[in-house]
Amino acid sequence: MRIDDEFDQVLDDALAEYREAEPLAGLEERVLQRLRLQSEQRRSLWWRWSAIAAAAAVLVVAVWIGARDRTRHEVLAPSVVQKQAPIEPQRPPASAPARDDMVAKNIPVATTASRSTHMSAPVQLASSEAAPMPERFPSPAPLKPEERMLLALAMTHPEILPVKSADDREIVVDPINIKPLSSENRDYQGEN
Amino acid sequence: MAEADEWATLETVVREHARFVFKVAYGVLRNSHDAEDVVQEVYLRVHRAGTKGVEDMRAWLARVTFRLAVDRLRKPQAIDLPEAEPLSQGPDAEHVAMHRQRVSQVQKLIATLPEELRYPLLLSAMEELNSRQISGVLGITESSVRGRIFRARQMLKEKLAALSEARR
Repeated sequence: MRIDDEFDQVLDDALAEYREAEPLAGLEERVLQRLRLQSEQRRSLWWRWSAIAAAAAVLVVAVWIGARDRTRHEVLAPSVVQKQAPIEPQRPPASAPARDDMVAKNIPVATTASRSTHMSAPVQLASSEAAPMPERFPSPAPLKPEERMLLALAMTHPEILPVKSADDREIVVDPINIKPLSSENRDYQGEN
Repeated sequence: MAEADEWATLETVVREHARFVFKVAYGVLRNSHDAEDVVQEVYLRVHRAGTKGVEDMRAWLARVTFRLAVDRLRKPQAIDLPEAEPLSQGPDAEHVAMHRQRVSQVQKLIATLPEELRYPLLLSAMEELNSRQISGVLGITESSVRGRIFRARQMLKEKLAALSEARR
């Protein structure tokens, strides 16, 4: 019995070390300080990632817009060139008297050779790209979302469309009639 | 506003339970610095996870602390050696010295107990924890907690007696 009591006392004293363990003063403040720091770090990290995400989104949109514009330009450029190419040869050649008149006035006349050199570059560009010539210019593009919405609105509520005003009617111009000069006037002018 | 409320709750939890959390951590680690590190880690987790749905805050904190401390114990650590206390002078000096020696022996014997007996015994030393809360911390039944504490005491008594016999 005495041995049991003595053992209990020794064990209790041994466990008291754990029971009565005390941290260094200011434990709560240190913990709170650490938590505040952690909270600030998390907040700043959140802002940083938000800024990075926003910048990335802007970059993606910019790249997408740039790529879209480039694609449109590439589609339009050959059609413009190919439309222009046949125009030059179809220009009516200056008649012989007119050419003689221009030569007399020292005006340079484009020869067939010089015209061909002028024309060679764009024609070659058009043929080298070998892009299909669109039937219409500008080439039709798919409707934008706003345009589709406007079209749907116009189909469902046609009354909201503006009525064609009188100003939009086709202008008809009467033929101009100029009276021929009389012989008397001609004589008078001829004397002068 | 919600953030301010959350912070106020957290501050209350820190001020009410930080010392208790330290004791639980120290009971496992027996090292003040490591125990304080565990306290910091516990509250960082509380901050991250929040305290919504926690019914028994003390038991929940004890469980989190215990697990973190045991994890830390399995890593290499510095040993916190207790400072040697000066021997007292006087007629009872010999008796006091002998008592301290026995206490020191028991502490070493506690450290040699298997974990399943040592942890219930150490947690039972925390006056703040009852057997139901200890069972929640350890994930065993209350009757198992009581049985393990009893077996730990028996084992310590036998070892101490064997040690005393060997010294005679």
